[in-house]
Amino acid sequence: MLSGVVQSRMSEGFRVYTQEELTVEQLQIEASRRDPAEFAPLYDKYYRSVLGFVYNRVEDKEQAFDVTSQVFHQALESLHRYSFRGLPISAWLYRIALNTLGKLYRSGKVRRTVSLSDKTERELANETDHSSVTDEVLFRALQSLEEDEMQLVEMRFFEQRPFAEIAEIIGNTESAVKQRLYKILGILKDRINKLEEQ
Amino acid sequence: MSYNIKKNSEPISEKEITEKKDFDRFLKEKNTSPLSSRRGAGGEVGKWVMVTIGTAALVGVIIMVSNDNDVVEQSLSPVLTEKTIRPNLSGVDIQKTVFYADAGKPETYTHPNGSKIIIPEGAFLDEKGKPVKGKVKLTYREFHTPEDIFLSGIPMTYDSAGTQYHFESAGMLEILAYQDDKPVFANPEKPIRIEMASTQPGDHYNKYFLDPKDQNWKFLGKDSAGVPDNWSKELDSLLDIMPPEKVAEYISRKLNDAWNEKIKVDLKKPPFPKKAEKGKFLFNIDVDSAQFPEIAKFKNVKFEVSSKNKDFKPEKANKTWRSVKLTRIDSTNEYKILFTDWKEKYTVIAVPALEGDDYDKAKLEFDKKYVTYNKESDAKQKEILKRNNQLSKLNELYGTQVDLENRDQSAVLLNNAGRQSTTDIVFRVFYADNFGIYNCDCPKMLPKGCDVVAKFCDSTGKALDLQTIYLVEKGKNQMYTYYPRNLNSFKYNPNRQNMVWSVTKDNRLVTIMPDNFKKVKPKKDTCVYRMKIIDTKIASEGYARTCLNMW
Repeated sequence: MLSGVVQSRMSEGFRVYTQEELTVEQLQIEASRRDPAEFAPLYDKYYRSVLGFVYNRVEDKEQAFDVTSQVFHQALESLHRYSFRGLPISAWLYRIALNTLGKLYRSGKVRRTVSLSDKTERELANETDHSSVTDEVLFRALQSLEEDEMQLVEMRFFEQRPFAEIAEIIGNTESAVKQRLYKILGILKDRINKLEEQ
Repeated sequence: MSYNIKKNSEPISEKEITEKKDFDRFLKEKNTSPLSSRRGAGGEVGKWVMVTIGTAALVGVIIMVSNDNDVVEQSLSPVLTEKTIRPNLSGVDIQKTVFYADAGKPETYTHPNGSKIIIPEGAFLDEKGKPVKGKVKLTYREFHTPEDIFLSGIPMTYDSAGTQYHFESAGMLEILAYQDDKPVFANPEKPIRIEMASTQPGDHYNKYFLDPKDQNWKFLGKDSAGVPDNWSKELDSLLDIMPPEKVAEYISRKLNDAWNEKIKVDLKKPPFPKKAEKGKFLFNIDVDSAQFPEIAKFKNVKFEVSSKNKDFKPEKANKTWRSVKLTRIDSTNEYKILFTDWKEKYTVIAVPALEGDDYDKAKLEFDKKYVTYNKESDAKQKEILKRNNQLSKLNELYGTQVDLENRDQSAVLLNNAGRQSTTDIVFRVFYADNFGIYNCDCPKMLPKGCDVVAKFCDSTGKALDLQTIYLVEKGKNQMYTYYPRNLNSFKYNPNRQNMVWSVTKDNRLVTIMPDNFKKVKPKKDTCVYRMKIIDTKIASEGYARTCLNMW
């Protein structure tokens, strides 16, 4: 990854945090609850990763910056409700981002966008055992997915997030995420098969 | 859903991020943002007003139960409107208790179920914010069961950070006030203390106020079940992440950390250069800069023999030694220097010192560094002091809290004897600095276990057009609210006794009871529920309650 550039995959989401780092983060959260100015280190730490997460799901950069700002506002407003579950606060921020985006999609203010790169496209094609699938067929197959299915595909295959983090973001168990993704891959495979037969 | 697929999108540059990522601006926006809620709108009172329960301030209770529901309809508050709380079954609502208070006197009213409403003097204001004089009419009611909540139509969903939660209730209350049929307002400086009797024990509940402006619940704070509500935000947030008994331990640890930080600051002090004294013997040795950075900072540093050396022999300085070992003597600027040869060992106590220009330069450098150090040190000390003060305050609050908790528990226990015979009652304390609806609830996610597409129809299989569907878990004070748009993901826990309540557009109650609910098995992820439609007219609260639990 080029340094200083926000790409689809943000490194912060994949780091393994030490217990000490998590404790520091907890103390920062606790301090931010008392004084919003104390939120600065968390804002600085996660701004890029949330921005990247959002940018992958909206049409342009301006929308990405606006929504990211909303996400942090929401987070600060709701910090009193945050409960630590052994993962960095980023998972919670992504969950807020998904909910914020969901509202904006429903209101028609933001168009639901899916970001693909040559690499992620190839990886998804391999996962569905269709390594030579065309862009058109893959795009059409993706269009058949429901919103919650698309979210999982994006997080797992396009952003390559660990199952534990996805589970935390969507508020489900790791095993349920695995099962669901397995099912979604089946749906995509069938869909691609049918489209290729046409 | 139609997706707009973008491929190989242009990355966001570092420059663009730097331009937009500005925490100070973000914080400024936050303070003016419409997203920033009116936290504490209805009860987070900064000041603790201690009202002794059972004192002579108790005034005769004038309570009468209203037999009609005209109170609200005749004198609608401009704040709490019908739109905010429209009963699900038109014409059937939860009864209100009406009582009168003298605005100029402190008064206490006891509700038939044991709840207390403690009104301080000057608790009411008119629309211009001036104190109200004379009699004020108050209406009061509580909601404790799913039936109460369903009939009232009070929204039971809570939106936090874009996630919708469903309340598990430990009780709700509505308090409104009028004078000459015009609403009066609560004086935020003199909030009314309400001790709501609740049969739901547990300390996992929060307190909320239904903001009539946006019809959303506003979080007020954690409930302390009968404990006086003077918790500071700090303590509250600590208790969010750790049990109370750990708080004191945590505070001591934090104080220790702060002390350790202070020590670190002292160690960063720049080393003071020593001017070589006339007549004292000086010698050179090579010093490892990594091991002794405080000496290496000075150029051409020499070692001045200390007067502590009783029998120093200058000739020893001219000898070439095999090794030299330097050890700093604790809490001094002196070093013990051990010279070793094959045959001999010699120890000298000396101080690093500088001569002439070397000293002048080092002194100038020191003065400069010392100014910076002083500034940094002052800032750091202030920071530590601030933190220590916060922690002391926190510690003090913790002590006060424990003390008040003990006192209040005794007070509540004593008071219980006069109120209710049951020991299962807990008192949830609210400070009403706004009239409206307060609740003591715990937000929950939708149940887990089954996730189906739900279809609701009548006994002939004809689809019912329902606006709001309530999934009720029997035996729990928990209701889940569904709307037609989210029935494609109808979640329920198959291990619970589930019921569904709703009302048709033509105001008929429809229900499905646990036994029938259980019989419905999903077919291709879809469950079709045949609902019982109650065709008889429901005109009373009592009959509505019966219907909600029959069939």
